[in-house]
Amino acid sequence: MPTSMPKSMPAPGDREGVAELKRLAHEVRNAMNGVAVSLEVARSRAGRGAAPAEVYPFLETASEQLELATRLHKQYTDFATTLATDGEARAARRTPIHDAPEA
Amino acid sequence: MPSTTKQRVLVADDERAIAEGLGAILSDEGYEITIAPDGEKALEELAAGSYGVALIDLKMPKIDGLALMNELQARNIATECIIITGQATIDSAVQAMREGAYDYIEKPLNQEKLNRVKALIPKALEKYAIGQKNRELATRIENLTHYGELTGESEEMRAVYQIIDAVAPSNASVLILGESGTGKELVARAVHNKSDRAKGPFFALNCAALPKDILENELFGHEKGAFTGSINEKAGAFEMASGGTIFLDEVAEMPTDIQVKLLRALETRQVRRLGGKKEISVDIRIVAATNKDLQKALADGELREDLYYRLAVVELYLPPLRERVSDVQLLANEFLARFARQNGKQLRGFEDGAWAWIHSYTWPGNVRELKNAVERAVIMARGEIVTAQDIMPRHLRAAASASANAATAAATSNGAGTTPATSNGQRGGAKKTAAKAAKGKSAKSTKR
Repeated sequence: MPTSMPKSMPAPGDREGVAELKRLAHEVRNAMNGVAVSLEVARSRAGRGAAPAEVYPFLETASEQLELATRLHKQYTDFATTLATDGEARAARRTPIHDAPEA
Repeated sequence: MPSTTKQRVLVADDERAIAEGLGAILSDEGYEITIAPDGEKALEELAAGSYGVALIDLKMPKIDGLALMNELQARNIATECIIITGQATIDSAVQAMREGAYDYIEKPLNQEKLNRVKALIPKALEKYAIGQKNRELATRIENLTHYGELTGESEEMRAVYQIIDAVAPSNASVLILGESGTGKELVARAVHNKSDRAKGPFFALNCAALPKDILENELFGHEKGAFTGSINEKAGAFEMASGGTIFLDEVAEMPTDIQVKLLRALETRQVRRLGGKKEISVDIRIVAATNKDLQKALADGELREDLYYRLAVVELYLPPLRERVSDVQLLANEFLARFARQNGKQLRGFEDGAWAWIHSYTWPGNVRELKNAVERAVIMARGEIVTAQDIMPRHLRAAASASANAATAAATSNGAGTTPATSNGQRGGAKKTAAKAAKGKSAKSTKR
């Protein structure tokens, strides 16, 4: 077991935190897939001159999904920062005294 | 590209934006789209309607993509599955491919991937259509050679199937006439299964197998205290089979006083338990069978004439195997496949000598005897092929072997072959072939 952890990595005890990060990342990807699929519908329909009523709903959905992705991404980065800070604090607590930098 | 009738595609994904987007893309391509928000709904839809392709997200609530595929296979629901998967679940996608998925698409769903979805659907639909044709063909072949649990493609059996088709939907009593081992109970079951009573019980009773008192008790039941030892009341076959069909095998063996009670039950559709006072209404259809010479049974008074007329509203004659020889090969092959599977044996078929003997024998015990002979042969077979020695009953094997030896001896002394009588049940013309087969086998056995 290493006595110190890399700054960006959560501590081994943060399994729940990592799982939450994975879940958020999955949600972000889902929302981005929603954006991509909706835009593709809008693009292909607009390309063949479809009526606006057939295009707009998918642009609306793409917009909603993009907003959702942005919100989820913010949650992700906020949570990752908290986790990294906690990890650093924990790592510092675990560092043996003789390894500690001189005051 | 779909033209007149739109081909159906199911999109199963819990992400509404993805499901609706994919649905719209494929709808624009001319397909009829249904969206299912979870695996359970997807299964319901796929079971209810015929979908050529299902686009399935691997991670879904209730039933995930893999479990859904397994369920489709278990329920024999034919559809081509295209799996949509995130990078983290790529192993599962590979597993899905192993289990028969047509293909998989890995997220993110960019324009290139969506174009791939569009390109995959017609190919998957083509595979589905080929599969459908194969399944239809297999069903047609199955229908040519099978009818319910009955096997046979001869004219004689086709006539039987036609009678069953005609009589099953009615409520008429059926009397099946046929030798032992011809499959009378299977015909009775077919009549039941093809009728409106199919969801009701099918109750079979062998009238020859039970002593008079027990048979009466089985048929009509008894009240508590009806006789010594009757500590509980018991419903009889008529009550238990109400709403369904009761099959009375070997009905001509039924004691005449029970025949009277049976006749009354058939006429009034009511029964009274032994020791009981109450008439119980029953909704029953009777199918009876006998292997007796009915005219003789009627003349001898073994079967009451009034009961006969009540039972034989429709008379169905089930031919013995010797009268439908064209079915022997089909039946033998089917039994071979069945018993080889049951016994874990890899058998390729029967050797020519075995076929010669099978075709030469008259099968007095009918299908039952053939079935037992093949089962024994499968167990005895040492190689990949069933030999004449494997399938012949022991007493015939000895006789065939003796006649083969005699023929060999005669040929040696006279320079010409003679064919002495061999055994019971063998067609005259084929005795030589069977003797040859037996001889060939003994020669081989000696070499071992």
